[in-house]
Amino acid sequence: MSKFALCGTLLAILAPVLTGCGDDNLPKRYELGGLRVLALHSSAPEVAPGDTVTLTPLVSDFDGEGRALTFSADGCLDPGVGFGAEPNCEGSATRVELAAAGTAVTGLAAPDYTGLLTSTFTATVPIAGVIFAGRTAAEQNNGVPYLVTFAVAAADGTESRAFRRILVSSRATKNQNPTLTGGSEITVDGAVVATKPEDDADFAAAWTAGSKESYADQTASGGSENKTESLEIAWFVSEGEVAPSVTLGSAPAAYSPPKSPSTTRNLVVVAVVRDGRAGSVSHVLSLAP
Amino acid sequence: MYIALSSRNSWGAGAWALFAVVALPIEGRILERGTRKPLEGVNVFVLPHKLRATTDASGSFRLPEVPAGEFEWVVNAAGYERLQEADKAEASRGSRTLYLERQSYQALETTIYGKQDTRDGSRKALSYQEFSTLPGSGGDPLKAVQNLPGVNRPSGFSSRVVIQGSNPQDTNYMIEGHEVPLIFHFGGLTSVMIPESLDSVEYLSAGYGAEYGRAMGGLIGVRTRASRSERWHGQAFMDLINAGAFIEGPVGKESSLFVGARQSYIGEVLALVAEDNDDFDLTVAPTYSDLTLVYDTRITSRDRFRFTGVGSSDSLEFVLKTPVNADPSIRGDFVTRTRFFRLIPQFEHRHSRRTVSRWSLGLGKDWIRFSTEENNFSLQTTVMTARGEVERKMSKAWTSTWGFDNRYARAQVQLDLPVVYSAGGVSNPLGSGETQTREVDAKSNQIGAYWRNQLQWGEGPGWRLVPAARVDHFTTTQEWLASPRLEVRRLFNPHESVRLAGGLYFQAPEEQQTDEETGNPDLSSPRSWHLTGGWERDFRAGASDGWTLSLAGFYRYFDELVEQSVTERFANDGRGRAFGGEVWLRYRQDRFSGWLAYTLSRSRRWSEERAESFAQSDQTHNVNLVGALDLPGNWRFSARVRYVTGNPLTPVVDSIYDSDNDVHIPVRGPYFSERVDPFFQVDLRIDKKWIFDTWILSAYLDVQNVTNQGNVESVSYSYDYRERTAVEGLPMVPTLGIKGEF
Repeated sequence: MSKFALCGTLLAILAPVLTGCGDDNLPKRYELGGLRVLALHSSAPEVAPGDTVTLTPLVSDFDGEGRALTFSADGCLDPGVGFGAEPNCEGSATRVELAAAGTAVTGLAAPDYTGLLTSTFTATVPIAGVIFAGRTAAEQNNGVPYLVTFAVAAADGTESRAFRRILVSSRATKNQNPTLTGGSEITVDGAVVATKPEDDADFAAAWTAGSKESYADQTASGGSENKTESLEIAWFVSEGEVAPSVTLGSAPAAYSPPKSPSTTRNLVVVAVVRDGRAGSVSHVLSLAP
Repeated sequence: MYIALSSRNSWGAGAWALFAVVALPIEGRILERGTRKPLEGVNVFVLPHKLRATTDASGSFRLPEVPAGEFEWVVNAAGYERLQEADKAEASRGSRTLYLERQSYQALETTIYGKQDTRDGSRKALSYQEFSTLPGSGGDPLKAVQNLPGVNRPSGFSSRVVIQGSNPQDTNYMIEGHEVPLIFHFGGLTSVMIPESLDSVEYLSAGYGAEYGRAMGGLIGVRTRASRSERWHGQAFMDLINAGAFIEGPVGKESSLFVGARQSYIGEVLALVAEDNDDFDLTVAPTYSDLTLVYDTRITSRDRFRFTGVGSSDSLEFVLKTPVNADPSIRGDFVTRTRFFRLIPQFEHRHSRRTVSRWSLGLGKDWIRFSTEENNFSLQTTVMTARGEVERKMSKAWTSTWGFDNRYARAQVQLDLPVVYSAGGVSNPLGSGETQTREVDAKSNQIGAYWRNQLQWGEGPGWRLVPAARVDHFTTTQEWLASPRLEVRRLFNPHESVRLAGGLYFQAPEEQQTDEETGNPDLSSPRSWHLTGGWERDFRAGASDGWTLSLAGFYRYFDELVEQSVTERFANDGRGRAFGGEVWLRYRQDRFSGWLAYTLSRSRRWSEERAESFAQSDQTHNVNLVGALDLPGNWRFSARVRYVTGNPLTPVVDSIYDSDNDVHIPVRGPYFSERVDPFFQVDLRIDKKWIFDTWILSAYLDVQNVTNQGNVESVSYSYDYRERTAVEGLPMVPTLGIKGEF
């Protein structure tokens, strides 16, 4: 029958975009406000079987006024999230509790309540005999995902859940997290500033030369395919608009301040850099009124 | 010359004069005004001479002796305006052409009623005259089909036809009985065939015959018409979205040709609208074009040959400047192109009075390309379909048909796409799927053979039994599948019948579903059992005006449905059922025609892991009220009113942030446990024709959704799925079109 169903599905997804119908009245993804996980960083995005990584959540609770938060975290073999499985470890035989429910969140400090938590946690990925069981040589080389789930909650029941994968591979050269240029992680119109821009401005983030890595994936037929990472930056702001909210490479994001900027609260700008292979780094900039 | 005695002369009353009157022969033709169709058997009177002639098949007549001087033509013919025209018989003037104007050029000419005599009792059809002027469908045959009972209303952006609660992919599309990859242009805008090339559009629903298979839902087919061969005709047309033209006429003594083409320019309109759009740049505006060719020839009195060529192309390119809110991986350059062509030679040979055979091929190629900034899908398929059957009247009561159909395809696929997981009608973001990179050069073959028998007791009323069987072989699943089919009809009289039909229907999984890397090669073919029954009565009983009523019920049970599986990619997990009733009440009068099509149905799906829920295509009530009124002066006013239960919707109850891909994964609530608001729409259409002696100018105004109802077609979610907003369908859309034909 129709081998074009795949295309049809894609077009159906795109239909609202193409028709311009849309989401103008819905919250924008770059807006910071309520409790929200912005990233779940791992000390190493790709590891060998049996290795241990440290996970650091990037959380924003900008409107939370410093309320008490708790979190929990689990780890398990990836149930197939990329193929549609629900991303959680509940019911999994390989589930490991990484942080018990009710663990206190620390590190979200006034005045912005946005940043990397100091309440980090660790995960030890399974040994090769477990995580590589039933996997092809290509899959072992390119990386088998290990799932880490994280949930942060407030006392009023507000909750934000997130997950990430740790790639467990057999290859010699592992992927590294990208790193930002120290001291000028986020610039506003090319300069390091401390106050909110009053007019439209360009935000940019600079990463170190080695962040964009080249690597080789093994194909199913046993061959090798050379690839280069493509870095992208997700932008978040606590007021105003930023477009596009995800930039590619070193392209800047255009920021437009609101008509009536807050005179009491800082403008928080967050840039999360991802390399497309589970590697990530972020920076939070707080600009005074 | 002849001698006349006249008392009315200038020499004075009462004086008889004997004089010679010159008489002249006059030849002429009577043609229908506008169409120049020759009118046969029409009496032509010459007054006051009381002469009369009758036209032959070519519309010609001859009056051997008409007195010189002034006279008057008088022609009365049924269905035509009376012609009364002064003329003068002169030696210098020979032949005349008289044009008779039809009383109405808007009236339906062909209405396919009287289904009792059709080969397949499940067949419903609309003729060109019906679909071309149906309001709301813009003259498009396949959009018009959606007014028939049993056809679900598709959601606003879908180009699929859903039949009797089946799934969208369960419908096969055919041109002259040969499968084509798509039948609608981008977004369901219009179908790929030039409407004027078609004789009818038809659909086969539950219980359809053994001649067709590989579709659990049913079939939508178009049949081209025999080109007109008495002279050359032509037509040019344009409206707000496209323009086109065709010519048709005789090629030699026994052959005729139709060639038509169409080109859209809706893209240029959209490009203007989108010029200042902050979100995207159109680089290649949406464009489609079509080409249709039909060649007919009668080789001998026993052999007919028809060649149909169809080509179609769609393309759209744009740059998405701002990533989509819910899925930032959707951004940048987008290219989508679809092209295909089919060459369909058909041959019919009458071996004897009792035996006829029909053979046809469908040769063609499909190209599909879809690419984005990071993803790419390219498909090139070479297709050869074949059909053949021999029908033999074994005895007065028994007609037997043996036939086969085959579909061979060689597909070359390049794939670099994430797995798009979709469940409950909610798709995960593209960015969250596992990317699959694959190059495939795959061949597949689907062959079916059937044996159909029609047993009929007596020529008139009585029982008709149609036992049939079909065997299919699918190379993708390596299955041999037998499908019994049975139809029983009882004709009470030529105008009333009841029908009961059923059978088993298989459908091969889609090619990518059985691929060893992107699918599951262990899949088997999904299947469906059909049972349908109905009663039909033509209350006109041979007259042209009056009522026709059809009542029918259907039940379908679906088994082994292919669903996405986390562990196996695809699995035969799905089950389902659909059942319902249909009413089709039609009325026709001299100047008014219309129908009411109502379908009451229920469609459910479930699996071992998933509780029973509505199917995505479940529509409890589907009402279509269509009416057309012809007024003097060749005006026609028509309207359509539709009411359809809102489509089921799966609520998203939560979401989980995917930190690797910066998207949220939706957590689905009970599948299809909510519904969008009911759909209600009123469409109006006004047609006007201006009739000239040798050509006709037509214009129409088609206004869709005249009440500007904000019908909800789907919902759009915020980036984290916590809020949603309705996506409404088209607002009021007026379309103006004109066409000239000779």
